[in-house]
Parts: sequence; C-alpha cells; structure tokens
Amino acid sequence: MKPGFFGYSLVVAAAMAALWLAPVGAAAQRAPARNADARKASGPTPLTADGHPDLNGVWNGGMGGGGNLGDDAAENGIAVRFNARGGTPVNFERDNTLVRRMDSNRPLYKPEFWEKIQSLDQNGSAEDPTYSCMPEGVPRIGPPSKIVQTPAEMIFLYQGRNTFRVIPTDGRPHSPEDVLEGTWNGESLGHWEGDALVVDSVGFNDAGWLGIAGYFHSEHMHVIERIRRDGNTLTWQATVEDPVVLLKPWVMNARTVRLNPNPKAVLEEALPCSERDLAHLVTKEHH
Amino acid sequence: MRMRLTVVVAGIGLIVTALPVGAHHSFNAEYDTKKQVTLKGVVTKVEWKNPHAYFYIDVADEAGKVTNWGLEMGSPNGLMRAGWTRNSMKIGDEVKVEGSRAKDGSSLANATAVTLASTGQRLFAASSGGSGEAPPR
Repeated sequence: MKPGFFGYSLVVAAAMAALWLAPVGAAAQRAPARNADARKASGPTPLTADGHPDLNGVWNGGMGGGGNLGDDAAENGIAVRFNARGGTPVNFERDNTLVRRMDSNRPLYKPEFWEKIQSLDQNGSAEDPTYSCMPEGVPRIGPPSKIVQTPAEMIFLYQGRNTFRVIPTDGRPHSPEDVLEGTWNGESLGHWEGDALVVDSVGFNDAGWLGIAGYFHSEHMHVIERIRRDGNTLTWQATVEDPVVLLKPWVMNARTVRLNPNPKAVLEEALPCSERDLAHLVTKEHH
Repeated sequence: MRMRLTVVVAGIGLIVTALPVGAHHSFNAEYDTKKQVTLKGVVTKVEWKNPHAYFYIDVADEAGKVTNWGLEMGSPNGLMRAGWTRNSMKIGDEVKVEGSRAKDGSSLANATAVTLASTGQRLFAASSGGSGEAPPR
C-alpha cells in the first residue's frame, strides 16, 4: 500500500485534500506530491530478528516547523508574516478555519447528530477538549513520534503532552467489555498482517473528538490503525467504526512521516499545557 | 487557489510547532491589532508553558499607580527559534513590550516584541498574530 499523499501534518493534509480533492476510500489514489523526491522511500526496509519490519525510530523527521535554524535566527529574530490578503492574522485564521473543514473525507454521522456537531464546532473554543488541555486521544493524535519495538509489545511515544501507548503483540484478547474502563487512548492490541502492523483499540471514553469540527464519538468506538514502514518513511492510517453515531466506518486519510535523520535524536519533554484564553475571548472564532 | 495555499504555507510554522495539531484559539477573538500598546515595566512572573508562554509586568503610570499586566507570547518552541532561552527574561528585569491589547479591556496584551533593558536586545515574541514588520538586520 502506497501512502495516500505526503502530508506534514493534519493541517497541510487537510489543505492538500481540499485543494486537490483527493478521492476518498481505503484504496485512495495518490494526490500529486508537492515534492516527488520526498515521497520516494530511501533504502530498504530493515527487519527485526523475528522477520517483521523494524518500526523502531524517531518518526518526527518529516514534520513541518521546528528544526535548528542556527545563529542567524538568534541574531535577527524570526518574523512571522501572513502573505495573503492584507497580511493580517485575521485573514489567515479565517482562511484556516475554512481550509481545516474542507476535506471531502469526513466522518458521516447519523442525521440526528448533525445539529449537535455543528453546535460543538461553533462553540469549539469552549467545547473542544484539546482546547482546554485535555488529551487528543486516538485517533486524533495521529502517528507516533517514536516507536520502540520488542517481540512482545510496541511502545508508541508522542511528543504532544508526553503521551505514551503500550500495545501488546503477544496475541492476548481484549478485556471483556464490562471490565474496560473508558480511556482517551483505549485498550490497544497489535498484530501483523503481512508487513503491516495492525493496532486494534476499544474501550474508549466518549470525551475525545475525532477532529476539530465537533466530531465527537461514543464509548463503543473501535479504531483500527495500520502502520507500514517503507525505507525511511512510516505511513499511518486509521479507520473508525462507531455504529452508535456513524452511518458507516470512517476511513481516515493516511499520513506519512519520516525517520528523523539524526540517529541520536531524542524526544523533548512537552511543557505543561495551561489554558487562559477562554475568559478573554469575545467571539467564537477558532481554527 | 494558489493564494489559499500561500496562506496555509506562510503560517505553517505556527501551526506545526511543538503543539499537537489540535484546535487553536483565535488571535482575533481575543486581541486587537488595531489597539497597539507599548508597555514599560518590571517583570513579576514568567511562565514557560504550552500553548503560550506568559509573563507579567508591573507598569507604573505617570501618577505612580502600578498595574500588573499579563502578556501572552507564542509557544516556547517558537520562542526558542526567535532567539529566546529560558533565562532570557527573569523576575525583576526591566522590559519594554510592544503588543496588541485584549479586546475585553483587561490588562492583557499579546506581545509582538520584547526589548530587554539589560542587553538592549529586541526579540520577537513568536506571536500568533504575526510580527507585523521586517526583522532587525
């Protein structure tokens, strides 16, 4: 399975899908890549001793932003300017609000929930759990920043909010439903299907969202993530089943991240999140 | 079509910094770029947090009355790239802050740039409202 398209982040992925109207579905074709070279996997895919693709690594090498800009930045400062439409943050924010909701691939909710979703979206500054520093949860958090692979388990580490997931691959079954405590990331179990790691998660709470536009879910959500390594790229794709709120499973767009080229790269501790803006907001705009 | 892509790309550094790609509050819902303030005062508190770093300064008016102002900056990651370190500003430092005032009339502003009296260095504050001008050369 080739990556759907090269996406630095959810924002760019959404923007690209909107601009190029990438087709929806599990067999999604590739949208034209901005940088064809970047999409070519470099080198072979290493294997572990038990014959599976080796997913170990720090997978934040392809994300936008960050990086070491050197002394020039320290001397001269970094100016951020908005180049379009009058160069103001107002226009950028409003454009971004639209762009982030323009992806033709969106979860299809049952009609009785549409008003609720619109209301959650419009009131997102107050309602979006991530806005008040709560977790993103699975699958909103996306692909991991670092993977540690052992024969019995996968450990996924995420830069955001120092999040971790431990995913047994020893073949154990899910806990019975009445024992499962609803959590933000669910109870995850992993197994291999050919060269793809498949992570199956249940036991979610209903507090998290699938995305910015008020996409809530029920406790009966079931998420299947598929992860493949291709040379120095990792492709992550998730499918969300939630028969309580969705008309059909939501097959999310795949995302591709790159191996950090620095073999000594470490994840940084995420600083605590604190929310102080809500008391001072005078409109409901958010993006 | 191309212009929209430019908008996204121009701001991409803001969106995909250390923050997870979640929701972002709107600069425009809280601050007014048309109400610029320049504040001189003494730092009383510095908080290096996500999604925004904050600091507080005591500002004295001509009559000597002191008001404590809150200043919001960008994320610590963005600040690092703009030349800040965690020790750039400490309690007791004298600073000059240029920024956009909060729309609700509180003693709160979004800092665009901070000039440190001790070194004379003027640093951009990685503001989500942009820098508004070319960087110093």
